[in-house]
Amino acid sequence: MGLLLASVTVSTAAQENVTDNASNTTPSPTAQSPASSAEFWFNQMSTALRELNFEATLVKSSGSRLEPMTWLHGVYQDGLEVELVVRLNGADVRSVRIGDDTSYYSQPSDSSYTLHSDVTYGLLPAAFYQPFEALQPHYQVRVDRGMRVTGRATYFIRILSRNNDRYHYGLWIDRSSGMLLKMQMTTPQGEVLEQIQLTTFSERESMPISLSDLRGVPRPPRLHEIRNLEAPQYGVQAQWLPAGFELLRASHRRIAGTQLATDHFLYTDGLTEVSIYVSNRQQQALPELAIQGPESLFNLNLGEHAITVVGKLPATTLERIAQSVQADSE
Amino acid sequence: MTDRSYEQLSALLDNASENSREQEQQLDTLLSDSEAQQVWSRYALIGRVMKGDTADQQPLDISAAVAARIESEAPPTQVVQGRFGKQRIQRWLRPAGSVAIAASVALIAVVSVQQNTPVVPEETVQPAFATAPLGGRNPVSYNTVLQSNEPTQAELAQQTRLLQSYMLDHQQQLQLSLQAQQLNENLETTSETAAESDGKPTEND
Repeated sequence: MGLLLASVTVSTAAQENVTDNASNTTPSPTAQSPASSAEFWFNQMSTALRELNFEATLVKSSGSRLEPMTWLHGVYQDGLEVELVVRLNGADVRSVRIGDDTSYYSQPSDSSYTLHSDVTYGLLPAAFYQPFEALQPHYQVRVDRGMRVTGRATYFIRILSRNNDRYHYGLWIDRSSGMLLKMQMTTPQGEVLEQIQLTTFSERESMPISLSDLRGVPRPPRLHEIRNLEAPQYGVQAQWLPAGFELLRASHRRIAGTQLATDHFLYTDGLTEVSIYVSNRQQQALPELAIQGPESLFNLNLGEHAITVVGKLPATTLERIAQSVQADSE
Repeated sequence: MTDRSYEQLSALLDNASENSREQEQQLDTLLSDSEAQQVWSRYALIGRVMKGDTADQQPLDISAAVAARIESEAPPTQVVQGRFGKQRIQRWLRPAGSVAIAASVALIAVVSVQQNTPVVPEETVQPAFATAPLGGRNPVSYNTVLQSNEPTQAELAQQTRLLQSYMLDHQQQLQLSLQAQQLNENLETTSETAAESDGKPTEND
């Protein structure tokens, strides 16, 4: 299985090189217009996140919470990627990503699991590992001289939603390696909601030693999903979402934790995801409320239904989505 | 062990030592140092896998062998100490027997609820949402109390739990959709359009 994974990773790495070369054929990125130069640096970052050998420590701040982590990444000689993220405070949660399989180990509760995914969930948006083209229609990107971050010279990239209805990202990219050194997620008004700041960063010639024997470690069981999902039942759906959001999945099920029966719709625009939950108002019995934060939530009562919208979006956007929910016209 | 001694071990394994005297010295070290022996066997294993010496389809068996080895290994005090806490590796790399996405994702989810909800004064956090289902009948007094805008502690706790479960469920779905996209990127688009046309009358698009 390991060999199979390796070949898969090699082929994606080859693809990345192709796109990389494509952007390199234009002589100097800085000589171009700011937008394409910004895209160049965004793509440098996505390549760096896949290809660099590095050891880093970082602090993630979310609201008033600070979370230190170590973050190691390396590439075996055959091209297989390894990434290790360790939470340093509180519960011992670690993730190991080897190629296209990501395992989450947690202590002390025995609930570790493996997912088939080439992105470690929870540290950076998955879109940061892709070329910028995918985000192009709905986000714009700007580059500027960045301040000194982690002792290094940087470029500062801003990712802005075209309609100001989504959160914005600020990224500080190391000029020499293309590595992401700092990230801020802000409201369109500029209030910082979430930050990642690397406190140490060392690039290595080869894979960090601590990663070299991870390849053979036992992985927790793979999480499989039920194939045949039940279709939504309540016959209502959002009629408005910000431009670019597309339906990823829709189902009727009981939500995690409380077993409340809901219709669930998950939408994405490539960078940001939003969930819309529809449930029976009597059963749910939440007051109407709005929470704005790194993860916002808006709850609205609509006739016999309760509409709950959750995602990394401004509460006003969630409200507009919730307000747009209507019965499907037959 | 230092980085230098890792290198020496690795060199010894590859027969890459400068001279026979150095090699002899390293062999002595290896024979006298249990830490070094453990590293040796791991390197040898990694080397065999990388060179493809192992039979086809072997990797699964190797991880089993590694697992067995880890099981039989001495307590953490004797385990190799590295810069990034190798002494703990043995403990956390032992996977759990059963799968339960809920609890571990809950750690993440609860965290975000905790910081996000000034609205809800309830502070207690229970990583495992071992609760009675919310659905079904609520206490008769529930709605009346709520209308007076002074929910009881129990109601607040219940609301918090529900808010947390929305956050938790959202995060679970994000992870599962990452997996779904990875597994079936091409089919994803077809099923996506199918789902859309099923769920949404065309006149609303």
